[in-house]
Amino acid sequence: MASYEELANSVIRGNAPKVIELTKSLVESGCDPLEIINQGLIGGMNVVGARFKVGEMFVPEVLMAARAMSSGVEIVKPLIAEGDMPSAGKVVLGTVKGDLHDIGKNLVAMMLESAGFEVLNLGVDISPEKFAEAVKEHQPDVVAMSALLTTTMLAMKDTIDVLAEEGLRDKVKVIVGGAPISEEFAQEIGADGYAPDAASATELCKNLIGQAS
Amino acid sequence: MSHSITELIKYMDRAKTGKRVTLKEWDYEILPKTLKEIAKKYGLEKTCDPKNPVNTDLELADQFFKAGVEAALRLGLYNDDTETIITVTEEELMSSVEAAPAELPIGKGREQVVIKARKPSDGVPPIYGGPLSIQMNEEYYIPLIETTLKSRLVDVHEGPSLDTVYGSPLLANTPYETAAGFYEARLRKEAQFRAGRQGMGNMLISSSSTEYGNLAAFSLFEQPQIALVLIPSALKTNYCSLHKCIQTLALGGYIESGSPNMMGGYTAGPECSAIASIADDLLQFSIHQAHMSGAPVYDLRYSGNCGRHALWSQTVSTQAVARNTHLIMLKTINQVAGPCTEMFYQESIVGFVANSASGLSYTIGPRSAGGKYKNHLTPLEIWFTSAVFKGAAGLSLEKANEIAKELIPKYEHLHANPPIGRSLPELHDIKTMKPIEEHYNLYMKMREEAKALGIPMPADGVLC
Ligand code: B12
Repeated sequence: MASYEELANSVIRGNAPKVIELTKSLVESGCDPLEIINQGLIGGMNVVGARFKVGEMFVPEVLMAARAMSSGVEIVKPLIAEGDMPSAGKVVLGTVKGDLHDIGKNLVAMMLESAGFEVLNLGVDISPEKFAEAVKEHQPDVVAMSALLTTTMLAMKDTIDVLAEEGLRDKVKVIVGGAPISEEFAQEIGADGYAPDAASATELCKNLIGQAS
Repeated sequence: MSHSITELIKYMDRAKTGKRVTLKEWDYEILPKTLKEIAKKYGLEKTCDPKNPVNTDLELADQFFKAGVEAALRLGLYNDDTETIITVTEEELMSSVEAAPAELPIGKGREQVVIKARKPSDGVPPIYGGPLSIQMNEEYYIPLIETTLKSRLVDVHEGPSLDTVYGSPLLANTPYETAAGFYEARLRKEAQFRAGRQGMGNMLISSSSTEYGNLAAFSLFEQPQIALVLIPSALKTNYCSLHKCIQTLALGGYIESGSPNMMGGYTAGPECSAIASIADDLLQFSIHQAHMSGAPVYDLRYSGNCGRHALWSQTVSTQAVARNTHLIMLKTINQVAGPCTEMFYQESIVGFVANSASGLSYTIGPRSAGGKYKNHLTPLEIWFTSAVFKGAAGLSLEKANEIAKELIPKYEHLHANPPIGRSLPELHDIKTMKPIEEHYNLYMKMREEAKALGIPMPADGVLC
């Protein structure tokens, strides 16, 4: 019989066909679907996250691992009652208006996804109105904004203002990040949190969602 | 034919008919997988030796060049705006590389300098442009530049950049950018005049990233000046970049084009990032009709390139292009420590020696404090980095590697949390621009240390 460890290792190697094969075999042998996810699939992804953090794995490999994990999740998902499906929360993420820097933002997305968050990555050059629309449409727990330029970080405040004008501000937590952003700036513009890197962004989202619920 | 708008339009037309792929497919599949396949085919996997941060194996560099050519031909540039790939034929790639200039004169009269293609260990000193586009308060622009340009160690003028125009916040992608283009151009002229450097060459423009700022700034200078065409990321282009290329060609300027290859990101490890960097260099001369390329390698973990892996990747790719072509390359050397810290000077010695010895033609620097903190830039860091860059001309790669091996262990543990140093008003009296004693002493001490390591340090002409 396939083991959780074997499954986790296939996730780490980004081998999607193997992940599918092992997940099916675990399901057939009667293993608990939630355990397959938590111990095998997410378990593998946790190792990937840790290796990425210390520079032992690079973005393309992490993405392949994330894809392999999702192909396993797809198989187990129908077997789990909707409310029981582990989801850490929903995050709408984008780089603010006028700013095209996307590498850091995409890393944040990747780390959040690996930690079990559902991420709607809106892309770059996202206007306050587009953020607001996305909040209406997807009702996320968190809105995360990235800015790398002093000339665009002010658009974060505009976005928070638009969310308030549209009556959406109280429905979401807002977090900000990017090279020129600091904790003080985050407080000044009325954001709920700031994180200096992708790994701590994940922690921040977990904490904020924990507080809210 | 080189540098022609008709050629550029030919490639733009190709964006309309090129293969359509989504950004995700390009970033997550096509780019990393192609690079990986090529690295394997040419036997380049795991060739990075972090114990020897400056590559000294020139045959290996030549092998990387072949891999880079294949990557350029197989990949081309992805156009973000049309979501299509612009590819080039082998004939087009090679003829544009052949037709590219090996020398570019910039500046007028006694301010003229010639940016030249160099070879590894070339005895001809490279050209230094400065300072980099680091954000500054408006009121510091003229004092900083007037003082900085008093030293002949700075050949070409680029930064700093502003985040306000006449006191109003400069908002990206708005008419404030056009205003910033004109405004910064005027400040430049004033500061150059005060320093007695009228007619010196310029990289345009620091405070605006769009075609609006480019056009505004170009209209105020006699040509040729150099346009800063930063493509959206490695092996990509977009309409903003193409706008800038057309404007620059039509106005008689020079195009510098490229983008950093983020090691650890889509271009993966040091080997694949080196291959991407070479391909990026080569493609600028056809698709963008560039006069010089700019495709450095940065380590994504700390957004710099004075640590082992990024330094190795940048040296091997620079050597590859320098040995196998006569292309003019501009690459930035990125410190993460800030002004008046020992780490800044150590990173600078390592980075500027390694790149100068590897055959780099031109750099813009420094990126003190990673370029992230406002006003964290002073003339002393600018002069120091230029002196090292020029002084290292003619040094062997073995010597550069020896220096890197000695200094990197002193700072690499601080990459994640570097000392950001102090700002201009903390380190200089803004009225007289005199440095505080501690700042001056550290500068002089580190010049002596550089000399003791075997780097002949040209004088700055102001303090020494
Ligand atoms: C790569 C780069 C580019 C690339 C961008 C490629 C891309 N597709 O992203 C290119 C070449 C296109 C570029 C262009 C420009 N750039 Co630029 N760029 C950089 C550089 C060197 C690295 C950024 C990076 O990717 N780092 C790696 C990632 C992993 O780090 P990160 O982005 O900081 O993200 C991490 C954290 O900040 C955090 N994080 C990020 N987002 C978020 C969001 C949330 C919610 C949270 C919690 C956390 C978080 O987590 C991430 C992962 O750990 C920085 C230098 C620097 N020190 O940052 C300059 C820099 C940001 N750029 C700068 C400038 C000036 C520009 C231009 C204006 C230049 C010009 N004159 O044309 C243009 C602007 C284009 C535009 N409209 O956006 C300046 C900004 C100065 C300032 N304070 O405003 C910098 C600091 C360079 C400098 N002066 O030294 N740039």
